Amino acid sequence: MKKFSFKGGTHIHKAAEKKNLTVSSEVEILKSPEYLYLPLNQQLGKPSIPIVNVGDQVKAGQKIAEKDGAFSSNLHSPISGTVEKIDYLINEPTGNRSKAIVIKNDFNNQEIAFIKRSTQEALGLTSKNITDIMEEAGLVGLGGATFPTSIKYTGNKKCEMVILNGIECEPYNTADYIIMKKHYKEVIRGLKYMLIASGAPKGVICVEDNKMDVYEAIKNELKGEPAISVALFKEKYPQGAEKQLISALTKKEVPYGGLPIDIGIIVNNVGTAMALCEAVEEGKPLTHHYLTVTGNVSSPKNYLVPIGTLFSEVVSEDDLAKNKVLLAGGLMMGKAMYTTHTPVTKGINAVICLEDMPNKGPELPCVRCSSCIDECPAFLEPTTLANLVKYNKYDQLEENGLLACIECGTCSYVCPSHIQLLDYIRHGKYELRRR
Amino acid sequence: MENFMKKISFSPFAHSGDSVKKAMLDVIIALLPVVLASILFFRTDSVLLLVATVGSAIIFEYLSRKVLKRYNSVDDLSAVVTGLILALTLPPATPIPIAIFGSFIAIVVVKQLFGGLGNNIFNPAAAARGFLLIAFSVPLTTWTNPATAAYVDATSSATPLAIVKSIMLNIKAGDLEVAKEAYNTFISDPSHLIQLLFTGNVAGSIGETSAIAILIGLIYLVIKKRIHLEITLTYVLTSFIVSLIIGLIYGFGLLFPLISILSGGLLFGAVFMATDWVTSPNTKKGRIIFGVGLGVLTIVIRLFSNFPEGVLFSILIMNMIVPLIDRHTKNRIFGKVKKNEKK
Repeated sequence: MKKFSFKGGTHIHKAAEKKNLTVSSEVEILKSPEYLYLPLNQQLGKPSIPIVNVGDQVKAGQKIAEKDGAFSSNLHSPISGTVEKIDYLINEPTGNRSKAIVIKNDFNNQEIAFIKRSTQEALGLTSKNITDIMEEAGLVGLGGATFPTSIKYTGNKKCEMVILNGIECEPYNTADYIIMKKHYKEVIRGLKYMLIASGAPKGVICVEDNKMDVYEAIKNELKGEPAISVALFKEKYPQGAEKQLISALTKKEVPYGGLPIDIGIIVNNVGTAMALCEAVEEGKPLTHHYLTVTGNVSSPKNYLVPIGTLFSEVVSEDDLAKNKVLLAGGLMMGKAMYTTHTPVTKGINAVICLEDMPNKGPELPCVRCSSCIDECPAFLEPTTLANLVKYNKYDQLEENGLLACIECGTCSYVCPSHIQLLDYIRHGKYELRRR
Repeated sequence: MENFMKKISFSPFAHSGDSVKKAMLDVIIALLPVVLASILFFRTDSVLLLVATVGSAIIFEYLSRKVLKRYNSVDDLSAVVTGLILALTLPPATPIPIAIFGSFIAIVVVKQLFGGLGNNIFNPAAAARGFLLIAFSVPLTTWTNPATAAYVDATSSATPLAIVKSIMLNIKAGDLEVAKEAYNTFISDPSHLIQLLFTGNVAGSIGETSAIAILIGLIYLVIKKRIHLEITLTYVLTSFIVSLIIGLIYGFGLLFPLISILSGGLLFGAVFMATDWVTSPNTKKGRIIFGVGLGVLTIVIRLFSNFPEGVLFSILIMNMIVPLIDRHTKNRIFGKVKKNEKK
């Protein structure tokens, strides 16, 4: 069986690879909490603009904030209740502070009337119809980048292939696995709508070889579907990075500083495909998603949570007491939160508790072992970049390819001298932006 | 209720668990077969040299860091590795004070004065060995036979390299016939000669004679992924090809390149000295250039210079141009098109 792989990257060692914690546990549907905190800044672009007022009654699925410009997105209420505040400042999982709409749950669970379509009807929609649905439902890339999905499908460039990313190379996360295991049919239908929206003749679902069961399931389901195929990838970090995934599958590289559409490819997460399927067939906007709660907690598992749920709702007080670190996103690319008063946003699919911060030092001199260079998936020289940053030679960063860095953290992970290479590189990026 | 976390930092929140100390420990383990072989063949001479250089290397490392007011770096074990490698490249009869002076040069002058581990331009052990060879050329070119002596040349305990050198000198003098005759006596019993070179039961530096011990160390390093194999391979292969060509020119036959590789410090240098992380190039491309350069220089120095051995000087010369190699062998950055390639 052919397995695809990319050049560079590293194997996360067994002790840190903890997918087994949550991979077989039951999914818990979180009963809606009393308050939901919905940040207005859940996408790449500008924050959405609230269209409700304090004291308004809202229903589940009702739009509460509207997109502001092309790269922004709509926001919907996952529950029915009363709007308590519309400018509540809250710590976001990205590490920023942003304004949030606070909704108090009335537990009546009243829904707005969703526009339902049968699969037959849905397959008859035009490209414009589907991109409109994407835009209206507030779909953003659920892999973590939160790039508004409709933008990817409304460009002028011709799309040759849609790739669904089901790799999930983060060592703790299993939310995408659960999606593919429980909802692979919806994922495949979502991909079909994406093919309609993009006009691409071909769709590929990408799965890593540690998820053989879903690979087989999807493969069986795809019999008699010539346009869609499923591809198997070797387990390696960061296989799920968009550009590395494309180069592994097609042997084509996204140009430096470019987007996948420049070589006729659109990449979306499997979660996005499922959300699109729901939006098209049931008319439901993006209000819930799967969240892996794992690490050093008493019962690690996947939850189906409404967006806006606070971390404190899914991580108990007892669990927090025995941990010092709370991560949002993932072990390798996530962010450490300083407080549990942080809401789950569209781009967050895991909450991880760690007993302690892993060894971050002391930083010893670089011994030029070139591990970081050999394993960098963007073919950079992290140690050279770090030295340029250290000695303030910012003008040479660009020619050394700083902007190709995808911040996967492989360099910091492998460095035997415990040099936080990625921190230097991030600082270099900041300095370049500032100039 | 709001709970505050005790620690925050930036991603990634995992580490491979690797460290410089572990890497150095792996090199020390890989050197153990060589150390054992040296003790087997040269007995007390070898033990005394090893203890003296390793011990003094640790002391010099500690003292120099103290004087230079830097943190204590003895526990990264790099001084132990330097001391071991230096001792293993010395002839068995080296006077102990000279060996200790060698570790002073390696640790203090070549390593610490250049900024400590990671900043040295030259491989400390190679540079110190080269310095000793020039400064104390008589004691450092006096060879004694192994205690278990098997290969005894009629005249003295000459190393295989010295014999090759004398043959080359004959050629230089124009006595091609004499040279051929000497070479034929040298390889009169080829299987025995190769066997001796493999096991290491010949005169030579205490750690450089036994090819088998070095290969065991190499295998360990490869398994542990502590070695850039492309340097070792290109180095050995280039030396083989260059000496094959020269051998064919002088009509020495096919055994000559094999003797070139197995004799002297070539294998030891290719496995333990040229592959030193700090003083070898960053990228694969650079390492291949580095290895080819080493191979050519080693054989040329061996056969055409005044020295019988070329490993040390070839390593030192190539160390000097590593920054240059690094600058011109950068990897193509992901998504960027090569300059000479059209979009």
